[in-house]
Amino acid sequence: MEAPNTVLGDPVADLGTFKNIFAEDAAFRFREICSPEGRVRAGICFFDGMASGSLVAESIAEPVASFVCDGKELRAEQVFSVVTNCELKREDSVEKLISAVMYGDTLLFVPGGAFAVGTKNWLKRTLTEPRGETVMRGPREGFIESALDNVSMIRRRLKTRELRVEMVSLGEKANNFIYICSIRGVADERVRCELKRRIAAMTMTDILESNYIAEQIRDCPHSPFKTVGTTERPDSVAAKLLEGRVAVVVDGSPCVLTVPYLFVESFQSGEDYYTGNIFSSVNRAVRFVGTALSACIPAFYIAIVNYHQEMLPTVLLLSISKARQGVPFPTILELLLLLAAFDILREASLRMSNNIGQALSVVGALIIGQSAVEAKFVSAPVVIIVALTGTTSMLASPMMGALVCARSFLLAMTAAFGLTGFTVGLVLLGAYLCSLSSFGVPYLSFELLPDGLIRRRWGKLRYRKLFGAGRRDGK
Amino acid sequence: MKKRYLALAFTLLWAFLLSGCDGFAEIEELIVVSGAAIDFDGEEYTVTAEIIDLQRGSQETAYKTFYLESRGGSISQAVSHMGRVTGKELYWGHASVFVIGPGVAQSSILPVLEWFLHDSLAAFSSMIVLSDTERAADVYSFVSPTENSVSFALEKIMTNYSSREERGSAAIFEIIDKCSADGVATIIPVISGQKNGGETVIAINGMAVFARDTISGIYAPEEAELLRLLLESHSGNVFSADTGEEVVHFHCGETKSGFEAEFENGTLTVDVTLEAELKLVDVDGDAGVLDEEFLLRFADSADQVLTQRAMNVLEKDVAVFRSDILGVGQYFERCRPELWEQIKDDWETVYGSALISLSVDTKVGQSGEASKTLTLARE
Repeated sequence: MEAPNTVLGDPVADLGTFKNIFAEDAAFRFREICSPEGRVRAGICFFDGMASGSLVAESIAEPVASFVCDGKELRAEQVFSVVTNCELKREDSVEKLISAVMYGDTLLFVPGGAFAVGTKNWLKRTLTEPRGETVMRGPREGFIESALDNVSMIRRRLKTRELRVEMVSLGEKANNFIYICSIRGVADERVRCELKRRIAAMTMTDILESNYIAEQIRDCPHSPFKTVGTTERPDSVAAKLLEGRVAVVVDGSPCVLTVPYLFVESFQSGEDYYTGNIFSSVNRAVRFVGTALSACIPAFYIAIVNYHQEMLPTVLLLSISKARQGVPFPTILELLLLLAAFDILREASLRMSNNIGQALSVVGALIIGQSAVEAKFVSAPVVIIVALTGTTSMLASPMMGALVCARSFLLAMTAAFGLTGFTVGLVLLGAYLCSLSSFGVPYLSFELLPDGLIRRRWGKLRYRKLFGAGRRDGK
Repeated sequence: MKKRYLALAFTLLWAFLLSGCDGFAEIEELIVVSGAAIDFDGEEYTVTAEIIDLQRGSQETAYKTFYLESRGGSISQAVSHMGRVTGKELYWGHASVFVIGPGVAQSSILPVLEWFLHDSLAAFSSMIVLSDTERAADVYSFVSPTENSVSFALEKIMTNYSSREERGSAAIFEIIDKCSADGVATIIPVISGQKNGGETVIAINGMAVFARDTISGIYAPEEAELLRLLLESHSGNVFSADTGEEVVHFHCGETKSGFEAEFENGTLTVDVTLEAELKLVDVDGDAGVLDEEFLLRFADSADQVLTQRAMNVLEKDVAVFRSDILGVGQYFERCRPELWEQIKDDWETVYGSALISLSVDTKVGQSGEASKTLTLARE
């Protein structure tokens, strides 16, 4: 039997409706509250594991039962005086009541109406420091999977009434909630409106993680360079909101999205603002240079060793030549094999349990570092190149995916065309980056100072609205 | 989108056309030539290439060398015949020193320079030296105490020798520049073997002077040191001056030389000046090195020594070599081109009858760390 669109106003009938809807769900709990003479005066239902049983008992069942035990009838108009829970909302739409109960609320059915009472208490992870964004100094809180808790962490840092948190419900099956956060008067309204428009235009709306949204709202969907930022740190989100960005908090994901996202943000860390400006500037420069090396070193090595040996000092030429004596593979193939092996090791180390991880690292070092070189499968210089490439690729973790693509592209150009190909590849890469934008802001826009690759000291640095000018759409 | 793909395709095509993708070579397959000796017997060129052999290297020595010799009517032909032995082209990109024999020096060094310009892939920073052995290839029978490769050893010697020279450099691009210029001699270091503890080691043994493309003569090592002083460089040589009361050993620090030339009434007059800073090395005597009188004696004696020896060098060039080591002709070409046009065809004769004068100005610089020389206590 099809469920009605609105509640009937009869607790028995309405409770029966929901019992039918969730007949096959073993976690669905319901209870009828009766008067002494046995008449059902009210009905409550909730999902075990989503709602707090004690809260249901203390704030709903007990006061309602106390009210009806004298034989009185609890009308809908009286519920606000009886139920002690602070989160109480009257709702007549069955669909909305279904969404509410599935989100952890408890439904109260009384003659004349139905109510959604806030009793959410699902299991949540404790706050821990994000593994991918650790700092030596600074806050160590990280977002968790509960969107409301995440929003509260942001609100604790931005205690201003200008902080705007808009909720959007997505998906027919997932029925997930996302929260769009921005600071009124600071965030670019065009960016916020464009973000909401893109979210509304998404085709895949059953969102389980923030990346579902990121991939659908980003500029240049096929680009390896990310144009939507992600972070698990509430202090980073707060800082980005103060700079005029808009944040998207997704329920079920600890990763919060921020837009617009610029190229230079890949080399910035929250810790840069908590340590001295000189040290943090040096660290940023190291990240930038290291990332550039990671993209360029393998290709440059191929160019020099295979095409332009005159550029090598004689001693180095002889050393590399001697190291490659007896190696059966061409240099480019050797490099590709070792880079693939490094990626396999890296991926395997993420999937392995901690117990096996250490053994795997020893095996990896032995296989690649020692045995392969001694068996003349690969040469020592290539091992060094790959180790340097792999290590420097970790410096800017947001860029890891793009680095693989950039490195492969430069390798292909250099293997085919030598140093000319390397140069042309760099130019094409640069031109491509220049063509990217993030919500109307050019991707490569940044200033060396005051907070680009070099950070000025606090006192000379302040939060300022970043995205007033320089939009690509000319508005 | 279509424009992007077209632009990308065009860029790749341009990269392909302009690139050296046909220069691909695996580094271990290169036959690395460290240097070569070039001889000419009047009819044929003999090229002896010193090749680095990494496979016969060991823990103690990273590499050994072996030698390939071939002949041909031209240097390019001789080099191409080497391919019959190796099966591959030789890699000349790291060849550091090329030794030319007396036959090449007496006929012409232009074919060698032409080969560098048009055919070989040797770097223009490689050096040319002249051997005073019967054949240039005999140089490879000498040994070096520091390197397995004679060419690498020569490179180190030459780099140290010509580190501060402006006009005595043996680099190929310098040689080409001077050979193609009028009114200046080309100067190439001479190498030979010297007995040292039972072995014959390679060493520099003077400077060869070339008027255009053929050799005019060779300065002995002692004369070559003064030549280096005159060519605005320093000399590491230690000179000796007898003041009458002690013998002072010194070397020259910063030197400046120049000349003023005049051509009047068919006579060339060249006034050469040499300013040298004297650095005391050793004193055979009881002199106090801060003693004013001693310093005056020292300066005067050093003046005389330098004047005499430098004058010998200049007079030899004017009277014997007639090669214009100072570049007087080049001075006229640049500053008085009308005059140069008149005399350039007869420049050898004009220069050969030039009146040379030299004035030397010395000043004492460092005098060591002690104010008195060391003397034994007398009983």
